Amino acid sequence: MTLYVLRRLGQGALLLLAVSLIVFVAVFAIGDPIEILVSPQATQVEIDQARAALGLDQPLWRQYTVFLGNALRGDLGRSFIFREPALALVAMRAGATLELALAALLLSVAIGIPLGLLAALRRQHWLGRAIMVGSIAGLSLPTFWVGTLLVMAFGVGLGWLPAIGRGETAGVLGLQSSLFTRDGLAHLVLPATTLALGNSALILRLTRSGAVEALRAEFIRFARAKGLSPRRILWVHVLRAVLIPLVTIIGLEFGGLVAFSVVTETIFAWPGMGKLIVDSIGVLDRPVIVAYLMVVAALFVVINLVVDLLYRALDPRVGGRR
Amino acid sequence: MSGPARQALERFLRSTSGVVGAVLLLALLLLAALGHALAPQNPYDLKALDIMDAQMPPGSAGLSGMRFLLGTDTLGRDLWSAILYGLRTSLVVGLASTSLGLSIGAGLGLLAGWRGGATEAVIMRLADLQLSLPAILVALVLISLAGPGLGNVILALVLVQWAGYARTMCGLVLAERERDYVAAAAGLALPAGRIMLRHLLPNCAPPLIVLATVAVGGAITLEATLSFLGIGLPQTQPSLGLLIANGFAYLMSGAWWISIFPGLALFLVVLAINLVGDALRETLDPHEER
Repeated sequence: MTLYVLRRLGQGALLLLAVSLIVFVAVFAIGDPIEILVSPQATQVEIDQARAALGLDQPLWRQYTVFLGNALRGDLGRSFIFREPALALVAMRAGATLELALAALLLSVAIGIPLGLLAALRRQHWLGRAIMVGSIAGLSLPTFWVGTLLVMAFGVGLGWLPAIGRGETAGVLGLQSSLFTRDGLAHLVLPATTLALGNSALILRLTRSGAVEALRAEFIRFARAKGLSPRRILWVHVLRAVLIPLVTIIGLEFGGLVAFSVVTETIFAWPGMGKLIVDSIGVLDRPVIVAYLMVVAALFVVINLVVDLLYRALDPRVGGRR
Repeated sequence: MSGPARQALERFLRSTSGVVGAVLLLALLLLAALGHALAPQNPYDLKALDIMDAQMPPGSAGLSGMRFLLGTDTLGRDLWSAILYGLRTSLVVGLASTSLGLSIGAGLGLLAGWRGGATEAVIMRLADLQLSLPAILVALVLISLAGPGLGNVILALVLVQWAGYARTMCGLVLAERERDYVAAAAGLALPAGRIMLRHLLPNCAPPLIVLATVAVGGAITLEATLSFLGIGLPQTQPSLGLLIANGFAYLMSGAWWISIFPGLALFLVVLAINLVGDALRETLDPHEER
């Protein structure tokens, strides 16, 4: 088991290395940041000085090795715009994004799993079919359009919920989050719903297909024959069988939610790292772009590892096969 | 029509939602194809627009006496015409990027599964790398490098898609390779290319078709999303995403229709594609039983 974790961590490190190389080379190709950084009246000497100060006069491979060496010490460069460490900038905003993604994930699990189980139990009934067609509609709704509709309906039209910004945050155990205040939660409702929509439809469909399969399985027939209550069969035995494959998807989807919050954050002016990256791409703030992509890639590596370990814990059949 | 294809068609026709989706999709394809002839004006010809017609509510008549069925946007563009033009762009982008991505991905997956060894390792690790980064991010970075524009958007969508097909195809080929018909073809000393394209590919096709159908919808949504964020198609090109973005900017002024109608069109296209894709999955996958 320890060996397995170590091997996976090694693979993760390799993946991050590959991502860093691609991202670095790719991001390097975006225009010349000097043009944006110095004033239009700057002399050639001043431009050269700025270039040298930022290390942009070095050959590309040299810049990469310097970058890699610094990255290992947790330094991903300074933002050209904010003049602050890029990693700190991203980390500062990561909280808001993670909180949004977490809220969306909880929401989509809370909607997806019960409705999916219901659709499986009533699969011949009109209700089950209606749920399935509804889930296709949910998968087809463009996130950004739903966001604009929600802003229009609840933010502007009815004025029930705040549509802009993160609202008040409060610290619990040193963690600043809007999950802990009423105002913060109110601000969270619209963006989290927007982000959760497509995801809940996906979880619903996976839950349903897993449950349909489980309901036909031998062990459920046995549980019925044993005289267990239908409720117990559903919420203990069927759910367990459904959860095993679902954990993988939920884990991977969390990464997707973090990435997709780029769109949601733009619409709702949510001060997370998604908004930061869109703004940074606009002004060619290279270190921030690289730092953001590295943080997201690292997040993915960690999520994949946790999911795999969870999967092994839930399903004892998996470990033995390797 | 041969036996299996006819059976598949008969099963498809039994799915109500599939037929509804197919009819809707055909109608939308027709609208997109005939769009330029059906549109009352060319909404991307600035000479045809009158700024005095800006933000007219649905059903109102413009200065020239033209009726705006779905209203106008902030440039005085007839929304119905703009949607017809945008619909064509969406479908072209979705179909072009998916067929390119499918060809490349399935080709590489076929090669990886058939050759095995180092070829498989290289292609599959590349696919893993690609799949480890979320689609929207890959597209975001690529577009910010290559700049916005139709060609680059399609390129980004191809890059986002190929790995999924490659992984699926490789897995299928690895399973199919052990079957007797492949051994028989190899025993006849048929060239490898022929075995791959004429024997393996048709037997691996159904799951790929399902995957690609749904992917067209995903590609259309992603293009619209990029355009909405302002990094997809340029303002001069018709795009549903751009129309929605423009509408969003003028939301506060109460012109709700500018965002609503293009979004509805986008939703209907993707919905039709997903309904067809879902019915195809049930039709082509014998494991899925109702």
